[in-house]
Amino acid sequence: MPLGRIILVVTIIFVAGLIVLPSTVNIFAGSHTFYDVSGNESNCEKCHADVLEELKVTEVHATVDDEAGVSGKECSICHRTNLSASKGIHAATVTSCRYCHLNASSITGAPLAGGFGLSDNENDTGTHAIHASYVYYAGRDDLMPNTTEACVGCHSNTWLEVTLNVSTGAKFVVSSNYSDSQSSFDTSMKMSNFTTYKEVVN
Amino acid sequence: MRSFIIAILIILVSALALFASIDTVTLFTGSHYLTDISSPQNDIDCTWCHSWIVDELNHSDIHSGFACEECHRMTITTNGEVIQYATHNATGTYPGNQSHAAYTPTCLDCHGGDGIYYNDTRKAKHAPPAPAFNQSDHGSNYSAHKSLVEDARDQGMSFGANEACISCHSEYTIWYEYVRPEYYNFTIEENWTVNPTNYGPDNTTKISKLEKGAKHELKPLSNITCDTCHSDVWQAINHTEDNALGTAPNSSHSIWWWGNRSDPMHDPRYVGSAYDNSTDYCLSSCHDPTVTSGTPPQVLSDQVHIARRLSCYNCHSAQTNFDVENKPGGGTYPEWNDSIHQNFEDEEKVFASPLFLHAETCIACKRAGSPQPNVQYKTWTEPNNKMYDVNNGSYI
Repeated sequence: MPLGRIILVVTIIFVAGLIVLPSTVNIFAGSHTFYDVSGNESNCEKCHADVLEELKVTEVHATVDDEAGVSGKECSICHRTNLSASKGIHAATVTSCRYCHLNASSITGAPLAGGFGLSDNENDTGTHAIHASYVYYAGRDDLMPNTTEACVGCHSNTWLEVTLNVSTGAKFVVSSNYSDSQSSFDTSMKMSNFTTYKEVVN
Repeated sequence: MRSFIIAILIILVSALALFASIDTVTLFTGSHYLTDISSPQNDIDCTWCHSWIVDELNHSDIHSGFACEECHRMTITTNGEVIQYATHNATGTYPGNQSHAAYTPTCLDCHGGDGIYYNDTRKAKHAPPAPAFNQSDHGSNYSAHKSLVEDARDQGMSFGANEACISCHSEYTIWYEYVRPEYYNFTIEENWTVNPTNYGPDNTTKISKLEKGAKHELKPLSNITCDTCHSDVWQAINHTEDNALGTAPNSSHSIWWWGNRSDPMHDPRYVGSAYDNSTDYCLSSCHDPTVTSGTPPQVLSDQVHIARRLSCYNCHSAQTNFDVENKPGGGTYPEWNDSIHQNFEDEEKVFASPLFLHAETCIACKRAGSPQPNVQYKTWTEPNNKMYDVNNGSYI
């Protein structure tokens, strides 16, 4: 049968169907099929499948729900943990690492990220934390809540571009300090000559 | 025709899929892919963000065999300070207390005290103690660089006294500005007391210790030389020509002949022969002579860090009862004519004046032809070697 006739037949059937069918539509097919949320189940992976795929390849956080395998229940452990954080939370919170990892009484029992003086562990002084300023400025940034940017920067597989200004020299002013009977030298020091190192972590 | 239809169908299906998909994004791709840090080694590699330091260490004469953690996750310092880091290993998870990932040690955390520290694996290690500076309060006041260490410790440029250490021991660049009075005007009275008359305005001498700028690239000890930072002093010393009166070399800070007397010990012309280099000259001839016999004073017997803070009269005095090594081969006993000098080296005479005047009194007198007091001299500070006899109105 010639192709033209096939197309014609298909077109006729299509048009007839349009005429015969009732003129009602659903805006979204499936919009009257509701999930049962009484069991506190979530369906986060419907929209956030990429996140689920990341969880599947990492052992950390994949078992926060105390179950083997990644099912999607893991999302609730982090993103529905601190519902009192702010008002108007419906499905999930924009969570911060600190809710679990700086909170010794977290219901999740997450290991404390001590050493910055930020957790509620009384021994956590952070007096020698070399990355303290990194965490501090992450906390001041609004991109993610609290210090999460700093945590994600080191502890995750996020692409990172780090620019560090490093001093490669200093000025020492050595001043003679003297009286009628004594003399000595006092030295003041100031960093200078900063070199920029750009590191890309991927 | 068939391929055209197939192409149309693909486009339609793709458009439908895009239309039907949900516009969700993750803020940072990979942010839910968390690093498993439970293995014994470092799972979050320091060099991911600090790669240039690897290059510095690879070129370093010292510490090049260390992993980052050896210093930056040390667990117990030489003075017993414990640093607990966040750790996750086969035995469990341990929150950090004093630090989370890493710590900036002070050099003396390993090189202080007895040099015993515990590294990241809690293994006891030994670092050669920094002589004198490893002691409480950084040791003897006769260490020439003790004030540098104290000033470094008291300022916040780095941790502890690290600035002092890296200024000598590493490839870190330092721009020095030495601020001294331009000249000293002083009198040696008839009773041999020293009376500073006035000092000149502040004069700044700039010396650049230009290096690669690498704090983690440490120098071999033999590459640390006095004249790198004190080239102005060396410039003042290294005048082997006669002075204007022909009575002494035209040098300041050091002198090795005057009148009909000479001793090669302080002669800079032996650098490269009896003295290996200028540093050997500075230390062996003056700032850390080797005492070979007798009982030296505390200034020469205290443990110091390389160089001693002293003057001519710490060796040359009536109380001297020791011998020193004289590398060029001259006399080993620091000579002193007490009858000529009338107890000049006593506490209430030259030692009652500022230390920076001591050598000036010695050298100016000899360049002037060794007159008896009352004398007045004007001497210029390093790098200038100029001296002026005020009484006679002539340069000496």
